[in-house]
Amino acid sequence: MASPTELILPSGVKSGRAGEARPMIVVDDAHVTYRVYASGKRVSGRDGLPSLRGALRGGRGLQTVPALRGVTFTASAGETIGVVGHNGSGKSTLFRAMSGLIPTSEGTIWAADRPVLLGVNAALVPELSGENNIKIGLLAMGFSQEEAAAQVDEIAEFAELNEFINHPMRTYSSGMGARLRFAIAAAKSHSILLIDEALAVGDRRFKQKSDKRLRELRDSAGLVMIVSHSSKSLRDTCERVLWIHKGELRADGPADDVIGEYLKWTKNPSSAAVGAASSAKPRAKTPTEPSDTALQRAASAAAMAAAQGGRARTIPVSKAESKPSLLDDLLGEVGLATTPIAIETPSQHVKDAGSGRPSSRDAERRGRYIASTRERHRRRLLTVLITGGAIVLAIAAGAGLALAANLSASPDPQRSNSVASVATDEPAPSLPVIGSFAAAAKTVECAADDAKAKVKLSWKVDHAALVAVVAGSVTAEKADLSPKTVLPTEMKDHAMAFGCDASKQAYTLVAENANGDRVSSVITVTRTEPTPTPVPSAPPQQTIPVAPQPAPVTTSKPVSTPAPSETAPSTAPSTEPSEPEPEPTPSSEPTTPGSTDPTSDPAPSAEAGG
Amino acid sequence: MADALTPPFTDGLMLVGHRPPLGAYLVDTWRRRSFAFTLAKYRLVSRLLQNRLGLLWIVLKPVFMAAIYGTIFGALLSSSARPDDWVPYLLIGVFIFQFFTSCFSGGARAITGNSKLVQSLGFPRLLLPLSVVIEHGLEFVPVVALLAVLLLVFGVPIAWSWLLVIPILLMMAVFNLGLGLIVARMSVRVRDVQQFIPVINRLLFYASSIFFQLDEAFADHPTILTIAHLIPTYDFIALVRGVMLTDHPVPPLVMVAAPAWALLAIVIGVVYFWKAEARYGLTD
Repeated sequence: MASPTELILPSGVKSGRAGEARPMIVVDDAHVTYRVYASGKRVSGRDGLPSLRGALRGGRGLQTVPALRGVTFTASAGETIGVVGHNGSGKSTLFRAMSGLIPTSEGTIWAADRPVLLGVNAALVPELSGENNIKIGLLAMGFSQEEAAAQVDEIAEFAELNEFINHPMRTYSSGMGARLRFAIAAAKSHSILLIDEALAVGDRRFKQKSDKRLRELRDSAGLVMIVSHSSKSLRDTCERVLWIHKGELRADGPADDVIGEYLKWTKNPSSAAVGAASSAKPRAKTPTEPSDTALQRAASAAAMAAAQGGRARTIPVSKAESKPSLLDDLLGEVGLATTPIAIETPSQHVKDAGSGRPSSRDAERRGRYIASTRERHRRRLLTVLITGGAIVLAIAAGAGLALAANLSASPDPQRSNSVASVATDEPAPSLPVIGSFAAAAKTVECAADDAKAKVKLSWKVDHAALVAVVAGSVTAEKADLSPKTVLPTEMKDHAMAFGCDASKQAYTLVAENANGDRVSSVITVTRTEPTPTPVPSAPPQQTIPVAPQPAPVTTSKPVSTPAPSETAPSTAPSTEPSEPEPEPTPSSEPTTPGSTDPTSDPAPSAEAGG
Repeated sequence: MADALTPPFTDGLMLVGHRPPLGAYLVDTWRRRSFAFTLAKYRLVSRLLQNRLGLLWIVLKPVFMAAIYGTIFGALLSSSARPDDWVPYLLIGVFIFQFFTSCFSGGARAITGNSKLVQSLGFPRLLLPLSVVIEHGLEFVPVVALLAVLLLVFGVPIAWSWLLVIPILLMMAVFNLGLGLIVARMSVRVRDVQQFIPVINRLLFYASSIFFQLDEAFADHPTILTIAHLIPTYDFIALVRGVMLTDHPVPPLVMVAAPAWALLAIVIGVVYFWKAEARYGLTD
């Protein structure tokens, strides 16, 4: 194998202009190394993995595989250079390295401008429409917003995508995608264009257009490099060809010479490791297979139908030596394009024959398109309506959620758990209010310790469902409110037993509302020794209307206001207890034994007072 | 061979496959900023048009999130660390955090999800994470509007200070971009990062005081409280709460921490991302 060094320098082997043209790309001993997992998965150009990633998965038997092994050449402005080589020989890798997409592991590459690579598989942004992709591609290449906008139509027209220009690019056939990509990349002149097998796709008419465009680019001092399996198209467009073989530059010279040598080699490969595809290259198809392909493509891209048919029918002319193989099927596109005879004259009249048909189909298609547009409008309207409705719903749902959330923050967990937000409106019973609670006399006469005496108690309670009076000072929640102890809410002179064995006796009035909230009030009656002068004169020192200061005892929430409508859900839990209702009796000492100060416990505690 | 290529020979040529100097890189990025905007716009539109409800999903998603969290943390779990204005408090937390989440996980896919674009066209790759942040920023505009409406519905008084939300969110976007750049590069090298991002999101969600009051919950632990105050997502949420709600003053530490985070993230992010500029084409 010839050493690259002998072949390459000086640049522009054939081109007469090479002398004055300045180099646009200098590739100096470029090496690119991929990592391959021992599992057998080949990590090659298309789906290369970052080599660093392999290191992190240590122990998986990494092997380094050189894809490029020291390629060196120089390309000058105004040249169009073809690159040939069998599949996997490193052509694509070379292009990727030259466009700066992958770094070289050794050696360097200089370029006058950032080279633009056009790969067949590059799809830009698949979910966007062709038009949007054009715009994005132009902007990415450095055009300004206005320049891009001005060029979009021109490019769309060049790509001949017709109404497909508004369809997402993922729906494009490979030919349509390739045409679009070519149109985008070729939009920018004065640059280095690397085309990776782009010419193999697209119909004949487009090929002529793209050839013309390539010449324009080249003439405007750009450099064009093309990877192609089509020796015919390479001969047409390129004056210089590089032959990459197993990662090395095997030949670099005038197109006819190198291609001739390459074709000779493919017919009689000296190397055992040659890809099957390249050996199959000069062959053509059997009549049936390619027309299948053509039919499929015609279905997917109606606009290209006529030309496709033309190509399909060129096949019978192909060489007799054709031996169909599986690979031939797979590489149908490439094979078609690479067979020089196939693309020749026959396609001309086939195209003519095909051109008569489309009018009715066009009308049909237009009808479909209009119908779909109408449908789209209808659906858009519907969507707007649904959207509006749903936004209203969403806000309503949010409000409902807020209510629920506030509810749960409100004092009574029982209620918030069991009752939905609707229930909040139900008028909940207010806290009982002890209007008055007093003993007829503050003292009781007991003749002896074992004597029996009675105390007369009076009270008035509002908003209470149950009222009971218990001897002793009892916390409200502990008081026994069983039915037998239940008393009316208003009572005059209710007699209670007084044990004379104690010096004083406390009585607790407990009131409970329907909700289970309790309040209590306590009075104390003291025992006196029997005196000659009995009670009546005693009263002056205040009868003992024990101050019925409402003592919120057990309510589990901070609301201690005697009669609040505590249910209003939106009111933030008021934390400060409102001042006690001014009751006539000043001596009141509201004993609220077990209960804590309402203010000290603002947090909703789980245990309920009921 | 290298000897043959003397400097005059390569004069006027630039090295391919090597990152440009940072300054030139940023200038180039700025020059092509419309690419990022356009890509963001198109992508957002195409993403939304694929759904029947379209734009509505932008708004519906955070509302559903808030509803779920509100139900779980509001109705089922009760906590003393819950503020009085629980619903507005929760809404701001969930909505603002959503912006972070989307940028963060979107940033991780900025390069790997656009490998075709990266492999076909040469442009500063910084534009891709930038476009992700722009996309989610655009998406976030109606969400902020919805947030304002919801706050009004829940009785939060409107105030001029609400306008401060815009600079705060811009600052947050800068922070998101910085972080997005970091994860974008990391996930190119180690795809596993993308698996880990939901975990980080979850962690930050619980650490960012979205459904409880940090200051109440950790009132007795000043050290933990300080650390919690330094969590960047919390900082931005706290700032927004500070300007939109009445009784949630912003801790002084947060006022310093938020811009500091944004600056730190963007500087580290840009440099870290730029360092690997030449290698992004290796994504599969």
